[in-house]
Amino acid sequence: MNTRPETKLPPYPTQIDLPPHARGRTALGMTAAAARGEFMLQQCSDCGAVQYPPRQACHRCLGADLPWQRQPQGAVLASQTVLHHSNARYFRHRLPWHVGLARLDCGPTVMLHLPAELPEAARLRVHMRLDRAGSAILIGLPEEEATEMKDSALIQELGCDPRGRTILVTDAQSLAGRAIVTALTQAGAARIWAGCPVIVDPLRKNAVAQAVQLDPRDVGSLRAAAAAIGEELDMVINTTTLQAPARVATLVDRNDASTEMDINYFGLLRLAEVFSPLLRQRSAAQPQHMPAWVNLLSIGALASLPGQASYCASQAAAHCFSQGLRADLSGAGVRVMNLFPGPLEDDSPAQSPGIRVAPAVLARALLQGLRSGLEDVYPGELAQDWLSRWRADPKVFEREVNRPPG
Amino acid sequence: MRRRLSYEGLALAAPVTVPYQRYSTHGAHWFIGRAMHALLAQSGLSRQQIDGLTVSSFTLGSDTAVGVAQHLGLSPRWLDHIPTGGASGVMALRRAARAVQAGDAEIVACVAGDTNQPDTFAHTLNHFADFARDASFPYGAGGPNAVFSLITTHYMRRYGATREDFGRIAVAQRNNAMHNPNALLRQPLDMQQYLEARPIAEAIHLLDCVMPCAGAEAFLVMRAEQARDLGLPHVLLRGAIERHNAYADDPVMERGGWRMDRDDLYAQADVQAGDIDLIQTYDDYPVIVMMQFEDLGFCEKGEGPDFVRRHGLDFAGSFPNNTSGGQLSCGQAGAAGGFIGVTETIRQLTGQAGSRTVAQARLGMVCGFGMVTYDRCLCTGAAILEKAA
Repeated sequence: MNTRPETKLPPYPTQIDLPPHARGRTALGMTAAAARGEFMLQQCSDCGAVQYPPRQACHRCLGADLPWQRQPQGAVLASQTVLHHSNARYFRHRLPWHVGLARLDCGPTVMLHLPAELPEAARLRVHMRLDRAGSAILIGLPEEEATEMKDSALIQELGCDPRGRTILVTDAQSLAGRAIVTALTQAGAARIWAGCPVIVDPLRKNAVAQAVQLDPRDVGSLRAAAAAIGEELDMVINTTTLQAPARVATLVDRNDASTEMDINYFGLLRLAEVFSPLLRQRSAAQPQHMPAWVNLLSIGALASLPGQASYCASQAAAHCFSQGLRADLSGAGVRVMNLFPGPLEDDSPAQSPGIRVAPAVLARALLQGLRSGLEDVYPGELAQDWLSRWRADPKVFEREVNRPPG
Repeated sequence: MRRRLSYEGLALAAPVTVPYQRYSTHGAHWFIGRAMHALLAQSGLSRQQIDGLTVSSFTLGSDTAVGVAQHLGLSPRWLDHIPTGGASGVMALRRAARAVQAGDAEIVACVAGDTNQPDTFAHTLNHFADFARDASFPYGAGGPNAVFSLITTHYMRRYGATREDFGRIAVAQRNNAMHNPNALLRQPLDMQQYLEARPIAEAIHLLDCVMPCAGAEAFLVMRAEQARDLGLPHVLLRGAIERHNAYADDPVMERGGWRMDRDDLYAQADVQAGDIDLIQTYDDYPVIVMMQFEDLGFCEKGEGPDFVRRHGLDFAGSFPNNTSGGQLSCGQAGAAGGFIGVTETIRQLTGQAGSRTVAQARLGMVCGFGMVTYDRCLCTGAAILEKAA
């Protein structure tokens, strides 16, 4: 019998004020760096001058080739002020607001957010982060980062620290899922909804986690889970993933391919349909906390890996959908973060040999990504290596990992 | 550098102010149309006799000067669109003067006008410049208040200026505005009220900020001989400078481009700073007024605070500054804020300034300052005008 619980509309507004998000195409290079947790500015290939604000011609030599390069983050505070008025509603709710001008050691003067009033001519470390609207901004923190600065509302809101939050882990029974539940518990999550297709082991010895029956193949079960969880949901961590055993002899197994697509791609779609409205509403109800949606994908979402074409296709499909989900949720001030690890250690007896990402490594990368407000995280050395090869040239990467047999 | 051609024989006449309104349902074209109408009424000229036009505005949408010409039924043979806000007045008179001098036009109408609706200012800020969109507006969306607060705070720390020093400028301008029927802010202002105004961005408080409004300003540029033939009260253009993106390497702005060109300005006019009888500084914020006193050579860098303590700054004082009340008391009608000093100086030197007339003034200086696209203001200009014999 298909019982669908009534969807209750929340009593609070679903609109949220966001910081000004418009950026020019060139400036999106900064957003791309911040999404990966890097500090990059344009640097002229001809004369080496570092550029800011983002531009299309070198201010020193008129060179036209201005690639984004990692830069040192040191700076000196040149002036600072406290805003008591703003033309954007987002900041009006957060006044007084500290901003400053700082001279970067690498050259340019930058305007930046400050966590508080700082000493005159203070040495700063400048951070490139995504703001609540998902656009890159600069923040200056004292060079010796005082703990109270990290705890400031400004820094807090740019990350999604699990402390005190209510979190759904969609598959809490896999090795990765279990490690993530443990890490979130240790990080101080207030409540963890531990998704299980069938409740077999009600998570003994964990006072924070509570099992909830959830089958990503069945939208009815998702609705029932949403009704059980209620409106107070801050994060969805989609750990539901399935990989059929690698295949060398045949390229195509339609049954395996459909199962992978049904779990990895359609599973995400169903989860998004049911749970993304909850995060949207939560964002508006508690504007000081940024909700997050996390997908456990695979580095195989970027390119097909040997013997895993259909699995990688399902990951690529989920990756593509996650970009749409991100665009949709960014308007609600919700962060969407993807994890792209290499092959995971799992319970599967058919596990092939090779470098595997340990569950604890994955969980650590997840926590760090959440706290830093990242969009794309590549846990483990293999994923980092493959990412740099893929970024250098996707075609070369395709050919070097997919060598013909023999 | 080769000595520049002088502006000898060139005149400015017919100062027009379309009365300011805090908000208006009319568009920029309406205000520019009223300004043109007033220019013709005041000068007795026909539309056909105006053969040159400059237009400055922030609220024309995608329209430019030629669209305005069509809108107003004008067919000029010389046209310029000067979208540089606070610097547009000085830039317009320079361009118009050269066009007339060269014979490309006989009579140029220089017009600036903007409308103001409750959301206009925020909209303008949001779409002002690529650098502002990418690198300053996202930082608290304070607009120019935030940038000038950073500049003011830095200046106060470096040179020991106090809020009272800035207050002297604002209070003197309000005294002037009480003699100007077009000023939107005419109620008396004392130092106590100035100091007690609510904070906007640390060093900057409400009475350091201009009030955005709707309105227009305009004047005519022609040969002095022609102005005499037409019987138009006029002033002579003695010298004018402009400079853009000066001192780009200063981490925080503490001097403007005037300093680079002031010797050229005084040499062209063949006068010295001490000869100037009245000045219309660009007063988007009092710290910039102080910077102009320094950078135009009325005192040395860092002596601005002492200078304002030693001088009376209203129209009857020892150093008459912004005799109309300036933008701080009249309001800032968008790009017309770049023209208000020009029209006021023409009025002062042609006996049209009523009860705020500076006694026995012969030489007036007008300054322009415009375009905060990121962390500082980029365009500077200045002109020296002389009473016609």
